[in-house]
Amino acid sequence: MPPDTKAATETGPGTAVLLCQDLADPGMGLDLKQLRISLAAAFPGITVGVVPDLCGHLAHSLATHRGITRAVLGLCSGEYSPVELQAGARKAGLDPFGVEVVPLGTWCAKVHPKPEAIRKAGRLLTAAVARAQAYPESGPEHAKPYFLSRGQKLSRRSLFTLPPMAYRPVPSVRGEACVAEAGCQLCANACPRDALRKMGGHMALDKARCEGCGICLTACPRDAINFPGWSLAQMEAQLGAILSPASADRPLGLLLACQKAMSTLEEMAGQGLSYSHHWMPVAVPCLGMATPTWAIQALAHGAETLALLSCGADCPFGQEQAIGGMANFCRRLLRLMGQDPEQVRVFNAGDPQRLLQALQQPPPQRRDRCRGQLREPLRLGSVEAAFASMKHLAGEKAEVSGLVLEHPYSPFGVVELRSEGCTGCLACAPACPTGALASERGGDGVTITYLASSCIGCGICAEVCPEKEAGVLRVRQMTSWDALSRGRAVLYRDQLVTCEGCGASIASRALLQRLEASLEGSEPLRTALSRYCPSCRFTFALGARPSFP
Amino acid sequence: MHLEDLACLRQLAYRLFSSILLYPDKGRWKSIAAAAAELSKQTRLTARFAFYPQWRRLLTTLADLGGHSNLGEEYIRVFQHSPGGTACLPYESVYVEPGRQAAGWVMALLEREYATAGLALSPVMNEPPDHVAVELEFMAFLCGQEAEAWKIKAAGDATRALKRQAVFLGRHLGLWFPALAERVATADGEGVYSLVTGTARAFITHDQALIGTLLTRFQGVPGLAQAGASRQRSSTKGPPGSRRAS
Repeated sequence: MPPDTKAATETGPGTAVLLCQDLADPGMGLDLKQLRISLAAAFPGITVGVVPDLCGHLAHSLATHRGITRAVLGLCSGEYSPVELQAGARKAGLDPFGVEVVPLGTWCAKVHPKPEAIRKAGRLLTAAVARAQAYPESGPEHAKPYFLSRGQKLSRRSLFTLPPMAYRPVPSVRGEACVAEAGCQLCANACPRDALRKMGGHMALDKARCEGCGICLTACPRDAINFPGWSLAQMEAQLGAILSPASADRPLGLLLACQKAMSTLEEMAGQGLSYSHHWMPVAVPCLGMATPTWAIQALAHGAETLALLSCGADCPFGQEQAIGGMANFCRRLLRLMGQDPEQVRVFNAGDPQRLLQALQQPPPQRRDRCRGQLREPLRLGSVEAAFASMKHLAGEKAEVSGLVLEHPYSPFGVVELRSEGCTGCLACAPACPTGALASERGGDGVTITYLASSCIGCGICAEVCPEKEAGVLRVRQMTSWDALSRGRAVLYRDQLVTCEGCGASIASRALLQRLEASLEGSEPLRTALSRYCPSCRFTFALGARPSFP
Repeated sequence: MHLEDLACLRQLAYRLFSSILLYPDKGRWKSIAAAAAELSKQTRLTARFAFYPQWRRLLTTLADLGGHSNLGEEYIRVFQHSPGGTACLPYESVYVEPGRQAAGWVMALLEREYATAGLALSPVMNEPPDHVAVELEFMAFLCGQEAEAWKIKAAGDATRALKRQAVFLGRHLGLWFPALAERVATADGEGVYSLVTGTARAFITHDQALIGTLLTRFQGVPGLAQAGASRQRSSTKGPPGSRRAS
C-alpha cells in the first residue's frame, strides 16, 4: 500500500476506493476527507485512499495496490485510458471488468455547488462499491480485444505494430440454465448482431460478432446469460444503493443512459454548464437492454422520474425504436394507472439542449403516489417483481382494476386457451421458459395451469402446440391487471382414460377422441390405440395374451 | 509492440504448453522450469493481455516446480488413468467424436491439415496427430511462420499465416480444448495440470479473439484483404497428402 493511502479500517484485503487527489483542487473543491468518512461509515471494512494524480497514472497507481479484490476509482473525468486501467488492474491481480470508475469531477464537482456535489459523490461512490461487490468473476470467454485506433486508416508503419489494445466484456451462455432445446430463442431474436446460435442443445455466443450491448441479458427469462461487468446483480446493487431511502437528496431522478451517450454529461461539464444535483446518472452498455420492468421498479423504489438518454439515430445497435417503444408503453401504463406519464421521459444525445433544460430542474415530487417507496429488493429481470411494483405505485386506486393495455413492448403476456380444440397433450407447459404454464398429469386427469404474473408473452407455447394451425393457444403481448392479479388458474382440465388391460393411464380423453376420429374405418387399430396402453399393446402383439378382446 | 514480437511470444507460449502437456520426463521439466523462469521476467509484453494473471501464476508455479518428482504420476493420474473417475484423455477425437466412431477420420483431417503446411508427424512421436501437444506444437509452428513473415515485412504472408491459425483454432484446438480444461479442472482441482490447462484455455480463447481482431483490422488494406483466400481453399479442399511448401 503506498504511503499516501490511508486505510479507513484495517480489515485486510477487500474493496478499495481510490480517489484522485486532484478532486480536492480549487477548480473542483470536493472535500475528500468527508467523502472518506462517509464511505467508511457506509462500508465498514473497505479501504479508502486518496492518490495523487490518480487520473494521470492509472496503471501505476492500481498496480501498487496488490492484494485488494475489488476497486472503485473516483476520477476527475470519464475520459481515461482503458488500456492503462486494465493493465494496472491485471498487475494488481484485479479483474479489470470488476473495477468501477466514477467520474466525480464531471458528474459532481464541476457541475454542482460544493455541499451538494459532495453528497452526490458520496451516493455515487456508495452505489459503485455496492456494484463492485456484486461483481461476478469473469472468465477468458468474456474478454474481447479491440483496438483504440479502430476506424483510422492503416499506414505502412502501423501495419507492423500492435496498436493500443483494450478489452470489452462480452456475455457467455450458461448451458445448464439455457432452454434453447425446448424451443426458446429469445436471446437470438433480440441480438442486433446475430451473435447467438443454437449449438449442442443450448445457445452459444459468437464472440467475433458480439459487441457487448447486453440486450440478450434482459431478453433471457432464465438468467442464463452471464455478463460480468453488466450483470443484473450488479445493476440491482447499484440502483438499490442510489435509490436507498437513506438518500437525503430527494426528490431523486434517475438518468439511465447508454455508455456512448454519457459523453453528453462530460461535454456539459467541459462547457461549465451546471444542472440539478437531484439527477443520478447510471450507465448501461446500450439503453436497448433496459426493459419496462426496470422502469416500473425504479419508480416504485423511489425514483421520481426516470430519464432515458439514448444515442438516438446514432445508436450502433439500432435500438432507437425499441427505446421509444419501451418508454411509450411505460407512459401509457402510468396514464392508465392514474399517474403522471412524465415520470418516464426519453432524451437524445443528439439534442443536448433539451436534456440540459430538463436536468436543470429537479424532478418534480409526485403527489399522486399513494405510499412511500417499495422496500422489497430490486429484481430487474422479474416480471413478478414488476407487477408488485405496479401494485405499489397504484396503491388502493380502484381504477386500476380492469386495466388492459395491449402493447408490443408490454413485459407481460396473456395466454388464452380454447378448451374445445386442446387435446391435453401437455407439449406447451414444458416449453414455457418462465414456468407460467404448468401441467399436471395424475390421478384421473390432466391439468394445465397458468400464472399470468410470470408470463412474458414470448409465444413459445403457441409455437410448440400441435394445434397451432387451429389457433388453440393464443398469446397476446398485453398487460391485464385482472389477469395479473388472478394468481395461478386452471386453463384446461380433462379426464385421463385408463387402459382396459392393466388400468394404467393412456392419454387425455380429448386426445383419444381426436385419435379415434382420425382412424375412422380402421376398427381394430382404433380399438387398440384408444383402449389399451402401449405396454399392453406390445404384450398382445407378442402373443402373451390370446388377442384383443 | 511489433507484430513480429507478438507472434514470437505466442509461438513461445504454444511451445511451452505443448511441452508441458507431454509426459513429463525429468530433462524436459528442467528445461520447462528454466524457460518459465526466463519468461516470467518479461512481463512488459504480457501484462497488456487479458490472460496475464493466469500466465503469471503458471510461470511462477512452473519455476518453483523445477525438481518436482511426482509429476509423472500426476500426469498418468490426470490424463491416462484416473481410478474412480474419468481420465481426461488429451485427444481431440475423444471430445469431438465421443462415440469414437470416426476417430480415424478426425486424425486423417488433422494429418491433412499438417500436410498442407508441409509437415508430417515424426516417426519418433509416440502420440497420434490429435494429441493436444501435437496440435499446440502445430500452432507454435504457424506462429513461427507468421513471425518470419513480419520480420521480412511480408504482410501478405503474415496475414495468410494468421488466417491459417484462425482456421485451425476454429476447427480443432479452440473447439475442444475448453472441454478438456473443464474435465481436468474437475479431476485435478488445485493441481498443476489444472493450472496448466486452465491457463492454456485462457490463452487459446484469448488468441482466437485476438487473431479475429487483427484480421478485422487488416480488412480493407490493399493486398491483405484477400490474402490467403486461395491458399485456404487449397488447404481445406485439396486431396489428402497434397503438400505445399510454406
